[in-house]
Amino acid sequence: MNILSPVGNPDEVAPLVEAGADELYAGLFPQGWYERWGRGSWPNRRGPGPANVETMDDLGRLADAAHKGKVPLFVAFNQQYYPDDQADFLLDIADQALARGLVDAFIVTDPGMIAALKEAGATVFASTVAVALNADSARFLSELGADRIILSRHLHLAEIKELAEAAPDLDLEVFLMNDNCYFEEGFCSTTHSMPGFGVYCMTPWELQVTEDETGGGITEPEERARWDFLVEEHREFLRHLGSRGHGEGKLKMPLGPCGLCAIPELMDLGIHSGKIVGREANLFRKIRSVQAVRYIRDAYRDSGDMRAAKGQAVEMRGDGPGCSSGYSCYYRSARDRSLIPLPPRPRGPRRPRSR
Amino acid sequence: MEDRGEDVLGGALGAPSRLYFGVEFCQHLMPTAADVAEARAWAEERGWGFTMLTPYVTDAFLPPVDEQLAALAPGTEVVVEDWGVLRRARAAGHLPVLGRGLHRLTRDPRLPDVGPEHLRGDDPPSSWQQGSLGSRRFRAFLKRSGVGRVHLDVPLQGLSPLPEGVPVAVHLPYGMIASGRICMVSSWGKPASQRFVPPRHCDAPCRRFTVALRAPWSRRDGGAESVPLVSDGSFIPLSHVLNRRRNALPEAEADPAPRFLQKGNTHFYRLEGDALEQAAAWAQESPVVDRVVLEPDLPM
Repeated sequence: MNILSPVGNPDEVAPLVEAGADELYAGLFPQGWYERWGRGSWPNRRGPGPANVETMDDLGRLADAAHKGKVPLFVAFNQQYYPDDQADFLLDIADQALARGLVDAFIVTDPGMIAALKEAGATVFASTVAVALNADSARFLSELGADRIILSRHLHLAEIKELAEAAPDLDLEVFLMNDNCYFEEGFCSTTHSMPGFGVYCMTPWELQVTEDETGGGITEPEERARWDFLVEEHREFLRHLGSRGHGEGKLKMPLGPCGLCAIPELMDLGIHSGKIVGREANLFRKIRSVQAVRYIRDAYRDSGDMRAAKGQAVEMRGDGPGCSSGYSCYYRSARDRSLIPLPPRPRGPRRPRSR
Repeated sequence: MEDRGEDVLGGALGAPSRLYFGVEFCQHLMPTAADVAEARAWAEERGWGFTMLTPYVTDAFLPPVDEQLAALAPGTEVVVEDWGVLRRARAAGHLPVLGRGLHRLTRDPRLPDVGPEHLRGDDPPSSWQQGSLGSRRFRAFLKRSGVGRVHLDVPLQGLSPLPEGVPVAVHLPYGMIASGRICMVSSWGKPASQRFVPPRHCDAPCRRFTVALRAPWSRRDGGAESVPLVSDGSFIPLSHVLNRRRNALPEAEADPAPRFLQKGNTHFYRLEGDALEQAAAWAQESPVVDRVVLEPDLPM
């Protein structure tokens, strides 16, 4: 399984390749975009700043560095949709990049854009935002021209197995580290490009639960207690969807959503690439993430000992409470409870029991 | 259904002529093939057309989808939220209709609260009032894929005129904000290992409960107890800043801010009052909107 790492600028390439990145992906926030479409619209799923390079020259330097390191460079054109003027603008840039041999593949959501880039001679990966939850969806996107299918973050290992076995000829990519979405990304119609508003799914909602039959609140005390408990736990879960600082292991690993202990199973399924999320992250976070994935991948490849590899994953992460709760897991079923060093979390209210 | 639909839009849209049956956003709520057959018969008795709604699904739920498709008359409209289901509907001889989830559109309910101060003077981007259908390449893709119709929501910020060439059906009064397989409601009463992961099986507590969501950004006039969130005209209550976890908003009964609704794994907004009337008028005036799908209740 290849390690796909985010990259933000040419200086990051060499350390990431040295850490173990086999593939790199970047974003492009082209000059002229702001002038034409303002601050409320982004050309990809990340905003301006460290998540994106801005000019063709920057992209050229990034590609040169990647290719010098013998790793391919992919670029995200992964917005859910592009009106014609934006698509024309980006396709013109894609043509220039392809003519100069800068981009080895584009990561794309919009089916019309996938087809247009294929016509232009590009290699195209179907973004997770395109939503492939089953083998037929993956096949559909492949028939459209996608050379790789990036699966949903929310598939269970068993579901990935079913999909992979039904489509053994397709290159599949999965998420491994750092950021999760609450909703299925392709079915989230909210935008992160609203300055001052934050992320919709992280809103500290006040939740009011009503019974449909009566239109009123929950009156039965035990049911009420269960809802109160669930709402508290839900807040805790939301806290785990993003970064939570650093682990207690030797690596001081950045603690975000994680699929480290699922790597052995994913390798057995023949998954082509494992993605580390976070183009905008600092280089330390990127390097540590690549190192961690590489360590587990190589350990399992060399030993074939799944249990040992999982144990190493838990130890390296150094996040006993997080591993114990499972709320940071991409693939919760991959956990081996006997390897998790801490008992269940002592915090929070107890889950009400049935009478 | 007819009576409540007429309530919603004051009867402006005339009598119903088609039944939409099924579910768009949760594979655990799919009706059985027997339910589909019964619903078909119900529609046929009344001389109504019949459209099947289908959700996004994992591999394990493709066989039930096949059973539903087999229970339909050839050429039935099948609304798809999944590329794989589209493929299967086409192969089964039905007419694929692109669902509102796969017709990508910015449906962020916060957009009406965005002012020039948030965008530092920039105009709101035109893309906020367009969706996938605004792309000629997407329309060409639809044609190649045998999609004969597109469904969409009217977002709170409104829509630009739609391009011609593809018939459109509009859902009213509920619009989908976001959906996903991680379902808080499904987690109700479940042990830790099964909370906040996509459920493999579900007892569907969403059939009993609805969750209303209230947030500070849904108000612009917080009064003396508020502090500016970004700049004048957009406020967050001071108590909310001091304690973001609970009891931070004004008394619910006295709060005119809009609520958003969670039914199962999906968040919805509801068009009401002037917004609903404007959306209905927009749909009626649009040369490409030839159908309104009335939702008498949350569409889950």
